[in-house]
Amino acid sequence: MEAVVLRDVWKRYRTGWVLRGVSLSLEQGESLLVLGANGSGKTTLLRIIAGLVRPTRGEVRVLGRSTLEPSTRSQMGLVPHHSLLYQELTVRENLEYYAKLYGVEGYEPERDPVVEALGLRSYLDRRVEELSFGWRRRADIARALLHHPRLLLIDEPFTGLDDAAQRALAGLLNELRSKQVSIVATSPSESVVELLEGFKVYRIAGGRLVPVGD
Amino acid sequence: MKLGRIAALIHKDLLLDARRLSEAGSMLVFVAAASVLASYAVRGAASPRAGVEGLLIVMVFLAVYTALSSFIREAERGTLDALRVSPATPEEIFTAKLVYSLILLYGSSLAYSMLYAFFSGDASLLNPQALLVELLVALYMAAASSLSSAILVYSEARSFLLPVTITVLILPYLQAAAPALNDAVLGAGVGGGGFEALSVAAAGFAALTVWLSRYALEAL
Repeated sequence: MEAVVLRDVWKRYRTGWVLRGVSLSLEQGESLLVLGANGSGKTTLLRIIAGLVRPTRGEVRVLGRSTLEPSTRSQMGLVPHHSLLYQELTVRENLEYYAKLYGVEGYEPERDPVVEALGLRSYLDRRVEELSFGWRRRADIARALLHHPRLLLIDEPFTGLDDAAQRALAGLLNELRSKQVSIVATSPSESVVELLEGFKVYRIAGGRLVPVGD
Repeated sequence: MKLGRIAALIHKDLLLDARRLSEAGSMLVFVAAASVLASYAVRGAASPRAGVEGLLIVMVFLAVYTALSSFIREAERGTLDALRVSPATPEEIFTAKLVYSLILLYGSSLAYSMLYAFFSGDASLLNPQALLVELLVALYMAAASSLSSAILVYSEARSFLLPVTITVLILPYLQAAAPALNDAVLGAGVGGGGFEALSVAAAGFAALTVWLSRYALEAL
């Protein structure tokens, strides 16, 4: 099955066209890294795949269905650049809330392997507003993965992370890829290419998506 | 609709309010000040009608507050995206926000009624029939507040449009509910099928807003 299909997707904001006829097909288990300068349309592309932004024209299918269907959304994880965590709640309260929202039965943050892999266990009872950007980012990633999505959309995954956190996150993403989870990641920097194994690499420029290589 | 999911959404919103003690405190101070004014200042002496008028003014103000603290607060924090990509349906999300608003509105209404009774020595706002009418008014206002919040969430003019929209939506209901509440407070009873009509109107409007939410939230 195809994880993501975009057919001739165009998007225009008031300021002009951001995407011009983007087409893409990503099989389940395949992963994609989209490179591009700030303002090139990477985030818009990610938000269109997530169903948060509607394309001006073109077709988007995720996991074989429309992104507006709850069954599609329950198999998708999103980590945008801004945090989706509630700042006044602790990391634990956030994770438990999202587990209930996604219908994950018996979720316990202490036993979550992603929490362990990202070194978050000792931060579970800290309020999100007390965390640095890097730890907040890790908590956001744990949130996006707690329901075991088949597709992970992650905007600029390594921005703001120190070297150790970058290595931990790269290891996690590569492990997810080996488990047939499809990942669509974006980055303004080419240096992340060496951190991610087996990702298809595309560049977005002038609103068009161009393959760079594997 | 999955009740567990709705309960989780309501619990999260109430927990967030509990963590923002300054906002909850200012709301309580506002309710207390309104009850004192209604008790002593408005009429010079406590009267049941002053109590009802003060209560309705408090509820209208709090309906605007709950509109700001439901969908609009989620949008300002960026967490609305999390709801939109979650498997929760628009009806589940909206119902949760409506119940959350109802809890705040009816809770504030009860606090006002108790404080008014304390300051004025008149407990007529706490008689069972008055409390039932207050519950219906709170339900109608919660539905109007949640719908306005969902529709205006991304409007740049929402600070101006919210009170206008909420007032327009609740005015017809208040025109029927205010006399009924007065009758209940005065011990005259809400007769002539008035209570049934208010119940059907409040429940019907709440159900209508839940149905409309699929269009309001999908358009975001």
